[in-house]
Amino acid sequence: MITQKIRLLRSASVGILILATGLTQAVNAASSANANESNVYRLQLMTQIFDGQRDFSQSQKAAIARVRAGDVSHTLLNFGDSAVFIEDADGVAASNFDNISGIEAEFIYDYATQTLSGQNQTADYFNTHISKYLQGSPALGGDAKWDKLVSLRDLNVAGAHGANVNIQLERDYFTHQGKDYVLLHYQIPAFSYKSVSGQDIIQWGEGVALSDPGFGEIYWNASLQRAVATEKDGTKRPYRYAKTLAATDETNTPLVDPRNMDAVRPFIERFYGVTKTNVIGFVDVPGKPDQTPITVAANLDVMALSLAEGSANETPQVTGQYTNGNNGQYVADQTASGLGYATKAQAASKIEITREILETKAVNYIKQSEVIAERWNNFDNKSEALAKNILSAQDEVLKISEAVETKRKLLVKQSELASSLAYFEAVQDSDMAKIQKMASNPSLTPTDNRFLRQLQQDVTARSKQIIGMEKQASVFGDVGNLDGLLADLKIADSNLSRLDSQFTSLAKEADVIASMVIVSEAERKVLIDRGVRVSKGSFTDKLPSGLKNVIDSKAAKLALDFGDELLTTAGDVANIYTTAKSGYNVIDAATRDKSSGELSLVRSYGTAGSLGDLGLDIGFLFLSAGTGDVRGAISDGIAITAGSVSDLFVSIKGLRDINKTITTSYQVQTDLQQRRTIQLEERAKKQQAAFEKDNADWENEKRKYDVFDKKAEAALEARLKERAILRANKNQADEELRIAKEKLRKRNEYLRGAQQRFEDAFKPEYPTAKPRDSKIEPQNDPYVFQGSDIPKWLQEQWARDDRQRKAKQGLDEYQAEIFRIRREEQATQDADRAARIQAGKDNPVTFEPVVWTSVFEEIEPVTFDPVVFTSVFDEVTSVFDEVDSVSSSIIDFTQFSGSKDDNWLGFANVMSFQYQNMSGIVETDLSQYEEFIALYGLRKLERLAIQAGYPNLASALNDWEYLTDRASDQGFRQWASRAPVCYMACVNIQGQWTQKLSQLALGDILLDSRDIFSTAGLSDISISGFLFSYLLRDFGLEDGDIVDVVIQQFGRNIFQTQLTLLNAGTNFQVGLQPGVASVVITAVNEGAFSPNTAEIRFDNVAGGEAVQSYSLRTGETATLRVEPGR
Amino acid sequence: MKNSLLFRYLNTVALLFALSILPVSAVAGQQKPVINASTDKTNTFGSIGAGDQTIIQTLDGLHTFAGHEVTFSGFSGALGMASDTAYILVANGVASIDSQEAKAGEVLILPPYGGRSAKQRFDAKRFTQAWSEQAKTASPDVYESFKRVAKKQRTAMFFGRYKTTSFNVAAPGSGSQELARRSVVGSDTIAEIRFSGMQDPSAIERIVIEKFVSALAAEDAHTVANLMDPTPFGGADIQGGASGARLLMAHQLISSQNWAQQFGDVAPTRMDENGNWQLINGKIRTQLSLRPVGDFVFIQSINTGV
Repeated sequence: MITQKIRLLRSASVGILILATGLTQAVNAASSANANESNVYRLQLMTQIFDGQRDFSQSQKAAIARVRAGDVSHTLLNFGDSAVFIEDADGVAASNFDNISGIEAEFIYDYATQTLSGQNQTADYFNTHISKYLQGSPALGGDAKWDKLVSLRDLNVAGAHGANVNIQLERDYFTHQGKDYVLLHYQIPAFSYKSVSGQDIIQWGEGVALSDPGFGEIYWNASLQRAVATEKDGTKRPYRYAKTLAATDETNTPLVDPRNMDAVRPFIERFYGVTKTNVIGFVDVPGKPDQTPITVAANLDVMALSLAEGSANETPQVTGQYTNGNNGQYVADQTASGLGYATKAQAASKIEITREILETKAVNYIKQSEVIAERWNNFDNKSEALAKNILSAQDEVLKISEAVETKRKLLVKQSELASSLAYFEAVQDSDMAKIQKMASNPSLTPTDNRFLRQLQQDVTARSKQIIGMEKQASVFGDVGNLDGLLADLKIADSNLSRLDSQFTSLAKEADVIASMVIVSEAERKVLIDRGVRVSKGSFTDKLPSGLKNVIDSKAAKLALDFGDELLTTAGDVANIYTTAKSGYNVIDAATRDKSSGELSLVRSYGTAGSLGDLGLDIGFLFLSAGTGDVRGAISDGIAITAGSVSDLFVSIKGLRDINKTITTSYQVQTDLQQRRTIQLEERAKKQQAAFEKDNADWENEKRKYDVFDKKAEAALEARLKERAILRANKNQADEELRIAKEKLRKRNEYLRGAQQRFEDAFKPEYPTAKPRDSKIEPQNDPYVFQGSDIPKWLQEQWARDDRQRKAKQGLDEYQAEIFRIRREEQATQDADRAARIQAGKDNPVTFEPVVWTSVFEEIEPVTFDPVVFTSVFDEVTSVFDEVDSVSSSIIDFTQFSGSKDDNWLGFANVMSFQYQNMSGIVETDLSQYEEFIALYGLRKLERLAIQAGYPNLASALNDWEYLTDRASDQGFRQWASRAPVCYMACVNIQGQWTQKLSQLALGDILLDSRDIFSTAGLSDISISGFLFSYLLRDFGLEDGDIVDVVIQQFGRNIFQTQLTLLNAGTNFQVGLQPGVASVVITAVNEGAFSPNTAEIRFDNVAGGEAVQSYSLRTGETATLRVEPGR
Repeated sequence: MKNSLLFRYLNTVALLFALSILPVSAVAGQQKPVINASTDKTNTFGSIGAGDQTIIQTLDGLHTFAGHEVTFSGFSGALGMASDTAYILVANGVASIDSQEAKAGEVLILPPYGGRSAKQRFDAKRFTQAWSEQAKTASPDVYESFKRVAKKQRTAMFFGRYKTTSFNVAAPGSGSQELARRSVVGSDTIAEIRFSGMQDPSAIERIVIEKFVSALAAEDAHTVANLMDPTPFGGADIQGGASGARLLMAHQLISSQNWAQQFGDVAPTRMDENGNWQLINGKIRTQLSLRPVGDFVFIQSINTGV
């Protein structure tokens, strides 16, 4: 026996402080005046409650300490960790819960007055309704059998009416292995009544309890009660209430095995037989089931046990507290860890920590919202100003560009005029010189004289022309040059660039804000899920006046009501659960209707069904405070805050959409510009070609023209004009092309930048192209005007731009091609996978399992949260140390006769108990099998796994080696496939057959890819881990061998490539899933020298040859079998 | 030849059945009268209920048992009923159904609903060991016949021709399961239907409806209860108070209406293929829904309206 200390946390009215060695001292209870008992032990509690709609199973640990001195006993009850399993017609849900409350109940029972003290409903119920029936009970110490008629009113069910309830009671004393026991048995024959809703209900039940003669230790207690209610449409709704208590020691080993006791054994099957614990009879009737039968059952249980004991000892006390009273507060594991749960040892401060964490989170959220709002405002203002500036800068650039263009045209005209004028003057001088020469020649022939006269006329006419041209030239005046304008343009351009940089920075800011909003929204969602009603400012500081006081006073009141309980209210908005007898522990937030509440394991609820006026959720507090406006005000506050944040998010989202539209239209414009540019380029090329040809021709032609030949003069003039036109056309084409290219460059630059940085840019426009000087080809032609030089900075920039543009264009094209190839590959893989999945659905594995009345038939896959089921006790052996935690280690069945499969005490059939004891040791993670599951279907696999005897699919898949070995074993296959030799109704035998068949089916599925064998000289390998890394090389003469490599798993390609084998080798790394993979190498050719040979080197080889080679002819394949994860 | 005979018997080894001890002991205390073939009076075989085993001293001729026409010739042995089988143990003589002829040491197993019978061997030693002293005293001749069979079987077992199995025709699965099953389908009402030889599901439904309606009109609460859907009361096992609850509900149902007046003389008619039936008596319409539970159908609900 274990030495234990009992430390009473509250001084009993008895005034006794006992330090006892924990030996249970069973004293003749009849001599109560001398009774002196102490018991400290643990309890395993289980309930399974069904109301036709939902089966609620709870498994819980508890610690109990009792001291009796004389006529008074003092009991402390501390509930521990719990697991809940819920099943309805749609499926199941399960979760573990950590108990975070302290000692939940304390009782003092006075045997003399037969009154129970304790500030809770259990005591009230006993004193008011049960105690009076104890009169006339048979004396303790001897076997007895008697009946008791109990009024329905004393079952404490409001509104129910009917005849009295007959309880048949029996009390047997016996000795087993030298120890005294008492067995209580009660039966309640069927009785009928009407519930407050008018339903006809028939109810019956039975219960048994095994304890020491002093009723201090609950070795075993089982209760099974049923009811049938007739719905309005005549449907019969079944109810079932089952409860078990069993005492365990500190190692959680049950103290007693009832199967070993002749007096008790016959009762086991009545409470725990397969037919007794099956969930059947789901009723499809809308609406919430009336819980009256469950309440009646629970109260009847307490009543009957009390009557059987003749007092309110542990069994009825614990039963009452567990089913009707407060059995603690819990947090679901995921919530706990999500909130940075501290160790359980800090039970008292846990709620505080949780509340503080949540409060901090909420406050931070509010602050963050304010930060976001402020940043957004700044962004908004800046961007608006920037937009205006950019527009102005664009206008400026445009204006200057136009001015440059105008001036340039003028300059061109001016230069052309000057060119013509110079030419004419040159001709004039030439003619004048000829005239002078001829005039001084006395011996001119008549022909010469005629020529001279013509010359003189030409000179005269030309003089007039020259005068006219000089006048024209004077009109131009001093056009000046482009330098000033170009300088202005440069300034405007750099201003625009500067603004462009600001725009980029601002775009980044918007990006940051968007990210902050996303995070903030996620945070808000977390808080809301936790039940936090986010109001502006911190929780308590900014609550409406007076409300904080209300909350505090309510908390004080509740603290008083529940004694030592650490229940807090204000701000306690974590996932606080309580579980009551029917599993309904929540008051519907809107209606406050107790019967409408439901326990949902995925949401947070705050209130307990049995603690109806308790508001753990801030929202409830606001309601219960009676200040109806408060909730509205808070809601408004929430709306404001939420609205602003949401608006922020929405507006950014809206901007994204807007920008997308703008970007798209800009893209269209850019495309058009591109096409236009190409056209201009063609044209410019043609003009250039024509001009160059003309230049070449002129070189040959101009010698032919004699300036003294009048006839040739006309032709010369015409020719010169023709040349001038060609030049002008070329220049114009060049200029237009330059402008177009510049525009295009800018557009492309903008598009690339916008898409990369921030899609929400709201100003799609961008500066137009900068003007250029006319890029006049420098010519050494004296008759061609050279024009001003192009600024060197501009030339360099143009060259840089051209290089960058070409490089970026090339990169874009390459990337686009890569993306296209990848998309095609993905599409192929997806189609292939979909086809495989569909093939699996179309041809499911079918065999006919026999009907097996198990709760697991036809259920949705159960998701068990991965729970680390850690022991939460200190090494202190006292059950009631300061942290009043209860051990949560797993019960060991093996020491009992028979195994767990013998359905010891029926615990194996209580789902929550299974769940509680499997958590932490049973594999639950299915993530690594996702693809495999997707291929074969989760539902089918789950069913097979359960039927194969595994607790869940993850366990089965984790045991795949065993399953595949079994399925590969021909002996087992033959044996398992053979139907059992049985005639009919061979439930157990067929169940075992189903199990074997399911194991086979699972093994076959896992073996789906087993028919892979290494060929062509390659041999199987296994690798550690799941990264398949290998080097494929041509280890002979590198002669151009080409191979296709395909890696498959579960029938689908996961890697595919074609490569030329090199001496240096090509390295590959492919991620594999659990299961066999095949590597198929196909020789595409034999290179220069046949055959196609290669060496393969594998990394991380756990089994097989790490270096292998093959030799193939064209078209031949070599297959390699790879088993990863070894 | 010998070898082939040996092998043939080896095939039979796997089908050697043992009969349960429990039901015989139970019957011993409330033993049915032994049928004497020399008189014209015989007990009807329909009086054999689930769990009963009747010792037959001598029987000849064609008789109906568990919905089957059985020809007895110089027969002495036992007849029994479990929840899902009826059986004829031959100690002497022959019992045959159609072409199946069971001789001494063999048992005819009769499934419900007129299913094809099967002939197997039974473990006579274990059967006789289960006899109470009262049964031995009441039927010593038959007892001795069974013992002779047991002796022969012992010899065969010694030579390896026979082997015992643990399958109990009277309690397939386990004793507790048989008792649970009996609580659902073991009542006389249901046994009478299941072992009537009727095979047509529609006819079976009709007879269930008719019996239920008649019982309601006659205020026969037991029959009404037996035919009520056991599912809400525990499903596959309604021992331990559930039967009483069902009976209570039957009483309530009976007392809720004047059913005789309600039904009149009208016969029920099928409404659909989903087990819904109705009786229309003038303006009064009563709808009954059936629910299949195992291989039987029970009354799931009854609704009346105008």
